[in-house]
Amino acid sequence: MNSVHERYTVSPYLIFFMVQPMLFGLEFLSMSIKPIQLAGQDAWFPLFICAFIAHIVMYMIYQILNQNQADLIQIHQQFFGKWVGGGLNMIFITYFMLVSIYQIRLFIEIIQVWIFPDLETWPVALVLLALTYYMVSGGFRVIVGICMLSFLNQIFFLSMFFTFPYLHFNNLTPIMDHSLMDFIKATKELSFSYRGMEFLLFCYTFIKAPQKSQKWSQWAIISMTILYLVEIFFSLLLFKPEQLPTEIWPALSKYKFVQFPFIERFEFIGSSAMILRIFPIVCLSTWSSGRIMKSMFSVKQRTMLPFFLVLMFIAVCCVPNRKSIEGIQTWISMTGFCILYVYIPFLYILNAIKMKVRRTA
Amino acid sequence: MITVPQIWNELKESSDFVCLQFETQTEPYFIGYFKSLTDPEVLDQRIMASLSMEPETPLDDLYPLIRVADKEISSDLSQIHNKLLRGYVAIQHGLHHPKCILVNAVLSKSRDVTIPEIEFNVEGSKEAFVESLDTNLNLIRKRIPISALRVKEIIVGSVSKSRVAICYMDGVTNDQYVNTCIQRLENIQFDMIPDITVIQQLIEDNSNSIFPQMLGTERTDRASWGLTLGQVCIFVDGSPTAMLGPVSLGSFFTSYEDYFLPWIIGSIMRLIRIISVVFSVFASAIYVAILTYHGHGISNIFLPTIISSRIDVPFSPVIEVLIMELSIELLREAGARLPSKIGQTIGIVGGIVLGTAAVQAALTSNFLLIIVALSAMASFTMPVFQMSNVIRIIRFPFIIAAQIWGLLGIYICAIAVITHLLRLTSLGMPYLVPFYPLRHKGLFDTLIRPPLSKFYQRPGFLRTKHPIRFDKKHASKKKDIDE
Repeated sequence: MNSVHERYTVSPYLIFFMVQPMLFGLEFLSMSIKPIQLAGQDAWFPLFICAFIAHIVMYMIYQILNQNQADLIQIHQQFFGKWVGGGLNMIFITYFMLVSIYQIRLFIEIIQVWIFPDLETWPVALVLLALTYYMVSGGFRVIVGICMLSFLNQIFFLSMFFTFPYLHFNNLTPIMDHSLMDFIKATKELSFSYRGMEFLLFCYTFIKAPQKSQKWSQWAIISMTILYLVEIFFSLLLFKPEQLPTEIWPALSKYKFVQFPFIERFEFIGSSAMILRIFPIVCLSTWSSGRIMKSMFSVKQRTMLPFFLVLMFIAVCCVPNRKSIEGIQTWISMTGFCILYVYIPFLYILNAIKMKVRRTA
Repeated sequence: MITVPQIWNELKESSDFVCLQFETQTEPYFIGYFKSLTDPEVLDQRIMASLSMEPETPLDDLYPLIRVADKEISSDLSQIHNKLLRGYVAIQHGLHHPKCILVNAVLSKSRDVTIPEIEFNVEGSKEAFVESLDTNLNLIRKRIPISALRVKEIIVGSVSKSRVAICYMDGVTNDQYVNTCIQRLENIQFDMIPDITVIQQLIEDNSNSIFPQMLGTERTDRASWGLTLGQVCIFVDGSPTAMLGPVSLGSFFTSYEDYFLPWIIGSIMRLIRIISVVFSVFASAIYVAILTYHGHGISNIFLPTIISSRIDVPFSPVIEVLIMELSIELLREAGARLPSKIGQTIGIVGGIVLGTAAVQAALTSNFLLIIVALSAMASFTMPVFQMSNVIRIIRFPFIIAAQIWGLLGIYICAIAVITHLLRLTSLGMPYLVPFYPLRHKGLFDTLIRPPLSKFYQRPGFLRTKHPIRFDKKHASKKKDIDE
């Protein structure tokens, strides 16, 4: 089944560096607002529930892939036949495209709000997509290299500790003050931050000894849970609950507290550095879409790549303002939720039945 | 079908070819050679002397009488032709006899082994390669006197017919690298190989990259160290540089002198070099970004210094930086093209006089002058000259990107460079190894220079056949207190 040449595969441990930035998109910047609105000081509890579910979903993904020894493109076609499977693959392409468009547009918005208010959307989009072309045409290994580079971005987490003198520890009490319904709603909101595991379904065959990589994927989720926990706690401690909804990106606002002897406004450095977070997601989306097209219609990835990028460029330029970005976000959040928490369990059960049938037969 | 007389006739078209006819009672001897290529001493004392002592012997009997080690009897016409053109003497008995004795009488004139001019070291040997391939191989063999050192020779270039030698350690170096090298060298379609850098450009993985994918060195100790670690070393006749491959980016930051100093000092030197390169690439670009867009990004303590220094400067920051950077490049280029004594004068006139005058005339700020001079100096810390050229050039895209989008531009430019480095390979080995793909054992000898007793393994990323250099247990046995 595994037809990928060993030269193009990556070691299992690199999956840690790949899964982490996939989960860690730009939506991270605003992830703490809604859960805190819903669950207040208890927002850490839904986070744990969400992390637990994410671990289970990751386990399911690996079960499905390990038992079939193929990526989702082939599984789709085996399970549902050429047409339905193809249709499902197309849904994934659309979803991936939307995710990249969302990430790029969100980054450009951050730049427009924080650094260059008069900047047009299209030149930045053009440059970012040109860079994406250069990365994706280098192949999967280069993309994983970019993922590893984006791991450097975690250094900026240290900036949170500049906020220590301004923290209000009273904000944390009382504990468990919210209803079950609030927790469930907050969990659903948080599940958006764990979106991104689905990329693994498409690059499975590019992992050397893929069974061994599950450990690293689970570790990536754990590390992300810790980062999210830190983020939620700092948001709780730093902002009043009523103040938080007025912030759009609380994570960026924290950079205002950073002070160095010769740097006055750290947010310039911090907000431009968000560029490292968009590339892993955008590259993997375009790469996976190209793979899908390749195995379905046997077109070259190299010919599909410019097509996807032009499509994304036009789409990014067509998103005018905050409101439409939020519109995309709602759409992605809904689709992502369906894929991860409905479709994958469904596929898991289907696969389990299929395996059982095969074993008895 | 050509014959030996036809070769004589063809070569006689050149006035430096000589075909002597040595009359005997039976058939005459014909002795052909290029007088510009042969050593007259060998010709007179070894060949002509034995011939005149026994003028009547046939060719086969004459052969043992010639007291030269490198000789052979051959009837292969193309070999006779080629060897004549390399300085051999051909002896034929009778004009239509197909066999010839080929005697090596090559007059090789090369300069003596001198001290390294480009990669100068304070400590360590002062021995550099020269233009003669045989001398270079001699220098390497003297340092590695074991049979595992293998030398393969091939001829490259349709006109220059340059001898190229590929050296490697049998049982250590990965065969894949050796075979890649040989295959690429054999595939070269080029006429003139004046220097090894030409070969480098022809066999590199990506010839459109400004980053060198092979490491050129003129130090014999560096070349032999690379061979011991499992790299392939290529020499070309006529070039005083050896080329090591495969290399990673890290190799260009290591000076061979690091290994001669105590390991702590060596590591600090290496760290300083890395910091200085980062400074050299980013300093002017950050200056442009801050002064053009992010003026309120820097602290109030720092701002007055900058403002007071460039209050009279009429240019925008980017023009100011580009003028300064270009004039430094100009100074460097002028200094490199002139004889060393005049070069020094240029340095003083250009650096001190022009610099002071430019500040006084308010064409540039003191602050920028410091940044540009420092980053120029920092780029000189690169121990490998090829890389210091790269650092020189790569600054300009950063400056322009900083002018367009400030800090964001610098980020984008840096990501583009890193993507380029991620895509690069050297003889098929990833260029950024051991950082990506991460090889924690290989990290040992990049950022720091490990103590030699701990350096018992060859770098894992070279995929050597024998990864252990020496037995670790004997080398570093720790004693208990008072034992």
